[in-house]
Amino acid sequence: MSSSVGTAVYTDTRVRTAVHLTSAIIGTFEHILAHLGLSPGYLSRHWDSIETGLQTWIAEGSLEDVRLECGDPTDPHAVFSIPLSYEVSGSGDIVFVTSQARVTRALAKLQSVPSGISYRLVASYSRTPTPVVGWSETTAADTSAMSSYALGGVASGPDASASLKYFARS
Amino acid sequence: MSVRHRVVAGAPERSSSDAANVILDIVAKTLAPASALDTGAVAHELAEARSAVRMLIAGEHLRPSPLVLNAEPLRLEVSVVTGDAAIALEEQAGKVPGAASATAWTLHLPAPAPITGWVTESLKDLEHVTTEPAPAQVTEVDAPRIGAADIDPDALRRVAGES
Repeated sequence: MSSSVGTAVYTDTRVRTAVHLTSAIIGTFEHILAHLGLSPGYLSRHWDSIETGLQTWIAEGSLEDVRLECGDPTDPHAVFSIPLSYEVSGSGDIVFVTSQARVTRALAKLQSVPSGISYRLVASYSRTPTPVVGWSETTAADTSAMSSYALGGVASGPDASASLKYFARS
Repeated sequence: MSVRHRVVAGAPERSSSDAANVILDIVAKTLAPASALDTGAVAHELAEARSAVRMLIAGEHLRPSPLVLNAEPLRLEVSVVTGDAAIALEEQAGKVPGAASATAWTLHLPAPAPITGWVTESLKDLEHVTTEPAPAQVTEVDAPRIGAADIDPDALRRVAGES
């Protein structure tokens, strides 16, 4: 009985962590896009798929990284990468933290991008993920020739945390 | 004016989408008893406002700045808490009493930077949902008082045409 109670709490915590990080990730991308002066259209149209996908994959631990690519994927103006880090959950204090205010302040360092450029979200996985409607296979933009900047943590929960990296044209 | 407050749990208890649905459901149910209001128009405008409410929740903007439903004689303020506060919250969802005699309504959403333009743009075709700040509450202390000493009876008589 005690092990089933422990499992139920673990599952509940994993789901809560997934909901928490998903909200923070979408909120972060929202602030970045608004700061860059880009349209909310893509984000609004695909919000349900994005939310379901991220929650599903974070809860199952398959999401490695989600990135916002701004501009032509073959030569993007900017890429914002949010890698996930998964920790083994204990039964200790449950703390859900976001750092959106600090991330918002960090946006002041961003280079501007041409108005009206397109953008997309790309997810990478550490293992085969559960299929989610609205997501299709693609190839992530190559950031090897871009300058990278660590912008700090985005959010953390008992089972996982997310941080933000910014890639800009050199 | 009756002033009520409601706090809704966001992440990690609910996604931004689900929290938006809860808030808009509270508003819809609160306005439902008001027979003078067009329920179809209410439903349409709240559905159109969902995208903006969802953005505000994801950006954690409804924690410091609640949305305000003005449906005199009711003023309803709704905020969203996240994190550990959301888990600990004892939530009161459902209809908020006090709007049955309302003949008009306005839902005021905050529009903070950097999503000011996004929120404003998404509401531009709506008549009852706006980013205009809600009217300030008039408290008993602030309400203007006119005492007998402020009225000039001679002036009244001149206006009335009396000599």
